[in-house]
Amino acid sequence: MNEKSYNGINKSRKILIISVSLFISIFAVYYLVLSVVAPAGSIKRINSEYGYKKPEKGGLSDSIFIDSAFIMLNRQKAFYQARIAMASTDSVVLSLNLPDSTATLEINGVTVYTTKILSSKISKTFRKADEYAVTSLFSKPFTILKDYSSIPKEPVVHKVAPKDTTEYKPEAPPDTSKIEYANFILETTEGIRLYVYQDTRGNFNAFLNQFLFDLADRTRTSLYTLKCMILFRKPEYKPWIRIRVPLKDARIIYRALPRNGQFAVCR
Amino acid sequence: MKIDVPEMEDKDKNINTPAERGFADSELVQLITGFFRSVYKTIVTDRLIKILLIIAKALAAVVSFILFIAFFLYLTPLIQDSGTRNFRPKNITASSFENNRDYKRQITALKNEVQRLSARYRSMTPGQSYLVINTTDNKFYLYQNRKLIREGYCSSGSYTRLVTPEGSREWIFKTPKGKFWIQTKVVKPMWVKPDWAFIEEGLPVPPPDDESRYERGVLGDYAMSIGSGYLIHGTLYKRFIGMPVTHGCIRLNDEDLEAIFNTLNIGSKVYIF
Repeated sequence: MNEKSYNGINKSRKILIISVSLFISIFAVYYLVLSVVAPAGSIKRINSEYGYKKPEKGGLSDSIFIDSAFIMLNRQKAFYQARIAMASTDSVVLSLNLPDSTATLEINGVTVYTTKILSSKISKTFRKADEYAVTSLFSKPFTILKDYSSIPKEPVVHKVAPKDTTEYKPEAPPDTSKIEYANFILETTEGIRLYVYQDTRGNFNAFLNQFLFDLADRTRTSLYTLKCMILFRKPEYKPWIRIRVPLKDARIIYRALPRNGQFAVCR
Repeated sequence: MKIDVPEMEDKDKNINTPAERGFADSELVQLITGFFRSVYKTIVTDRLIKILLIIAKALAAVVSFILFIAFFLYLTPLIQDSGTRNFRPKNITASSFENNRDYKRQITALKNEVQRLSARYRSMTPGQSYLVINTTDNKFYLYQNRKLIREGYCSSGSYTRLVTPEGSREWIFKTPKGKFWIQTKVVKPMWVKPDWAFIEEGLPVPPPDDESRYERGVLGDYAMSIGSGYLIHGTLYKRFIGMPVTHGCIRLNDEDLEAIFNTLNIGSKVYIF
């Protein structure tokens, strides 16, 4: 009798373990499928929105779109077009030239700050989508919609004025020795994400700060996908560009760009 | 828990001599060590294994959890899109399978377009002198004929939010960013103290034209206005140059201020970022 009930408990426990494992596996596979399928939607959108529409008469011949000289010239043209469009505003904008590995801050077409991009990586979506469509997408500046950062945009210090002269204390010089580790992500209205991470080589604190910042972003993205899973919706995929810049330059770029600033990218 | 204690024989029960007592002591030692040995054996063989099993299970659970999370956070994005560092297109020339004249025409048209855009973009940088201010690093760069002729430290806004004790008024002392131009140039400027200058020191705010609002010598030898009340000027507190300490103006040391004053004209551009 005891052995029987023991076997019964054992059996139900086994069933429970198997069903939980099965559920987790199905969940993981579903999550994986949804995530892998998502970029295809993004490619389709880029191709349909920015692809070449051939006029009835004339226009470019089909074979020229795979010509490397044409592609490079078209990319340069797109980059200039985006920069000229950005120059129409008086605010600070960012230009990223990935082949030249330079990031420049510009105001009204004037380069005010240049830094070296230490490494860069772009989403495979930009390679898989139609070349002409991606270049057309890059021919307009990207407008920042939202940003996530490890430092505040404006390091505001609150101070209450003294009631009278007896309470007044002359200001001490600010503490400039404090190091601020800056990593930030810019989300654009066009559904592109720009990751600007600082160089962490030989600096454990900077590495830890970046790891935690990156972990928070990955968690945010995973939670969004999970939410879509629950609602049986296909998650929106955001193609990305990742760059790594010297430690102090990430802070300068982030603080210089206005909240809804613009940036242009040359591939 | 059963402890194995050897049974004493009758002859050992009445011990009187020291030698006999010594023998009895060793028996007692054996008894105690036997007890501790059995306790130790029980702990090692049973409890320790149980504890180790619990630790192993907990570790397995933690590792599985970490792997599960890593799957969602790291593995899936990697499978989804690992990215590429290769930006260059494949080296293909369309001329080999295209009407050569058409191809050349299209490429030439594109080249001309790129050159036109490049020239247009380059023309945006002023040929005259202009000033660039980096408020994050508190540095300035003076350009003339598109060449850097002077650079050094300056002071910009402190990002202090000053609130009156009642909370009725507030100011944020920050330097504005963007494109500006020199609107006025003044030698031996006089500072007209705004309300916050009094409130900050706990003084009562005087009427607009009160004498106490006018102060000479605190802005250095020169001042240049860039609009909205913001000035580029000198300072008495030179040890603070290179730090974010101002109320929004740009402070420079005497030599840099003089050089900039003499280089920039009314209408010269000032780019602040």
